[in-house]
Amino acid sequence: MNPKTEEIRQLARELLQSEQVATVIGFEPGTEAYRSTPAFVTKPEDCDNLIWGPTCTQNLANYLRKRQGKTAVVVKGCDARAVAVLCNENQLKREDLHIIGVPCEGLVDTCKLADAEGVRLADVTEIEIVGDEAIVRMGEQEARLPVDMVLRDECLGCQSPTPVVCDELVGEEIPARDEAKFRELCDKIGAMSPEERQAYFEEQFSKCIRCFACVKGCPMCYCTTCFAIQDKPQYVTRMVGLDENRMFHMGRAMHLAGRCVGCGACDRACPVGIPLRALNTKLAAETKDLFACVAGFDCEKKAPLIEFLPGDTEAALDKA
Amino acid sequence: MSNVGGVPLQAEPTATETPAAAEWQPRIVGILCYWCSYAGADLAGSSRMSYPPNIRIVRVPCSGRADPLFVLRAFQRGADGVIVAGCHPGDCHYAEGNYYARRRMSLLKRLVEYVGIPEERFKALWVSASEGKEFAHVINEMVEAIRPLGPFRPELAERFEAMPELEDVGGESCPEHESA
Repeated sequence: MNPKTEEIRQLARELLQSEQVATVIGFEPGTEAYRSTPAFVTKPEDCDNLIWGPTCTQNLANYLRKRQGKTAVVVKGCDARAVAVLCNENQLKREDLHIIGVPCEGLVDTCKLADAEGVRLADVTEIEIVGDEAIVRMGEQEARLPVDMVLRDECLGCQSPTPVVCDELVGEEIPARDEAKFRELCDKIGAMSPEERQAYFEEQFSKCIRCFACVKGCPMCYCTTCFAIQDKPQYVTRMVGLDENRMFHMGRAMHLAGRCVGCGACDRACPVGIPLRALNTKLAAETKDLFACVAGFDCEKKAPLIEFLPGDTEAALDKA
Repeated sequence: MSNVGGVPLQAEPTATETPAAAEWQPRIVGILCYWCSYAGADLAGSSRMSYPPNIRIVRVPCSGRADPLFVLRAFQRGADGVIVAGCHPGDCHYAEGNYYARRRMSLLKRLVEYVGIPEERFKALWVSASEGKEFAHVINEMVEAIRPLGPFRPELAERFEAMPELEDVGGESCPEHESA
């Protein structure tokens, strides 16, 4: 068992027993050992269900809006940044939250794991990350793999493994990882020629079935009615095809500009494998480049597109 | 016919390579601020400067009204180019609308470029009410830059051509126009 699990259980039990919070949102084992599922614990005796590990992929910031009473939540670094953005957009009240921050070693990519040598996904009983090595246990057997072959791409280059906003920290702080890895796919696409990029994105966008799983998974997508679903004005019609999909994905990327914290929930949710995080990472990089704004490190700073400086750069604009 | 897979659009042997293709005209959507750029376009016209008729102007009260979705919507419906223009920073009629527009359009320009839409197809710039000459120049240049690129989405052009003309649809006509 992960040593942080016991600490999380203990904290959750104390919070519920002392009635400081009404609910603790954390993770419990999923149907398979390589998956976890969000848990909503309201009774101290249920706290033993809570777990922590590299399978705790969901961004729990998604479950915090519109909750009654004080809530405690277990957050990873990326979740904490999402909470910070939601707080400064007035979607959450910081005083209604008790944040249990857990420095995160990275999350398991089930697709990578399925392809990894010596791993049979169905037999996996436990996954542990120790330094640069992932130990995948299958009953008595175990496979030791480099983390690159097991963890999600965004985790390999995580910029905030340690939660920046939290009331309690479980375990030791973990330093930021290599940013180039976080932007690997984004930069790879950026290095293509414009024609290649157009072909690449047209192929990717054409795959979209508009299931809106990316919208549902994203902690920042909280509009009551998404612009892509609304009727008046109808930006995205019911037509199937590239034009509607491109409108949807580019519009969504614009809506997330300067707000995306790079948790990768969109990539995880997408059933057809569109590189949504690359698109959002590109805009996050541009926001940083043009306006020096990075989302989710500060509960007070506004999103870059709802404020301005008179001296903002015009480097990206055309000249008459 | 599909351009998925990156076959250059203009190289595709399509029905557009008929004599009509030689006369193909780009359609450009211009989203212009009422107080500056629209007045600038007006000045170009009233000063009898000539610029191509390929631009369809959408007047907005302020460049801050120009939602990035408007630009994407224009491309989605088959526009060959989009231009967003507003007052110079500091000259906004509403004091600060164009500052917001500046941030939005800067990011949108980078995004449009990133997904591989040629940068000639989307312009965002400042045109004041006195810059009729500049406006005519910008439109001239833009049309000439887009012409060799060909249609943005030839598929859409065909789809629109296949649509019936409004008068073919039938139904009751407006009483006011009946007499005309």
